[in-house]
Amino acid sequence: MTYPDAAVVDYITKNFIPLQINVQTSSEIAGKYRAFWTPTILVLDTSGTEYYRLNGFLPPDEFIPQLEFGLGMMALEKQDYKTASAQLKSVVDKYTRSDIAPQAQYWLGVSEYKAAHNVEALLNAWRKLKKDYPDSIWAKKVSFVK
Amino acid sequence: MRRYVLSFLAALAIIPVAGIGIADNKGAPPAIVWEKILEDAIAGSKVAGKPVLLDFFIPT
Repeated sequence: MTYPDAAVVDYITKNFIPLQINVQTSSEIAGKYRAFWTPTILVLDTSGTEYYRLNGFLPPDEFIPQLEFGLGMMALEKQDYKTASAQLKSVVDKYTRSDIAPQAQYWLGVSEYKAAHNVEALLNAWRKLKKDYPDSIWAKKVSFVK
Repeated sequence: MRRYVLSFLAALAIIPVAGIGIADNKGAPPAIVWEKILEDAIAGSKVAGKPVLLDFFIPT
């Protein structure tokens, strides 16, 4: 089980306001957020706007990196590149072998590029992606990079 | 005097029981305190400056 895990409890408590909605008794909210399967987990900003979602059960060692990645993607979409880069780099550095790490490395490059329009930073991040995660679909997305 | 002795004995009887209660609480695993109402969670989110983690579930 994921939620009783002490590290998961700690991570969620520190970083989120946790909200559980029963889809059977709150179909209106489920419909609003297009939740058609459980578990569906969303990261919402302080206005209730969705920025990241994941479906299905994950064990703690994959769940926490996913949450951190979600925070990074929310910051990226909100154009808070400093926060985005820090969160995405944290995913890559702390959860190097997690399944979300290649995707985090991809978007880290994008965040660094967006922050300063630094093409070299983007290419370096994507070269690292190709080198560290050659078998991931994210490496294929940057396969054109020399 | 007799009253003091009885009080002392009562205290001796209560302290171990209280100790068990404290020990049990201390040993309890941490748990997530879930909000149950969307509007309350969003209000709390604004106050705390933290995003909301929304978990859609079906009771098992």
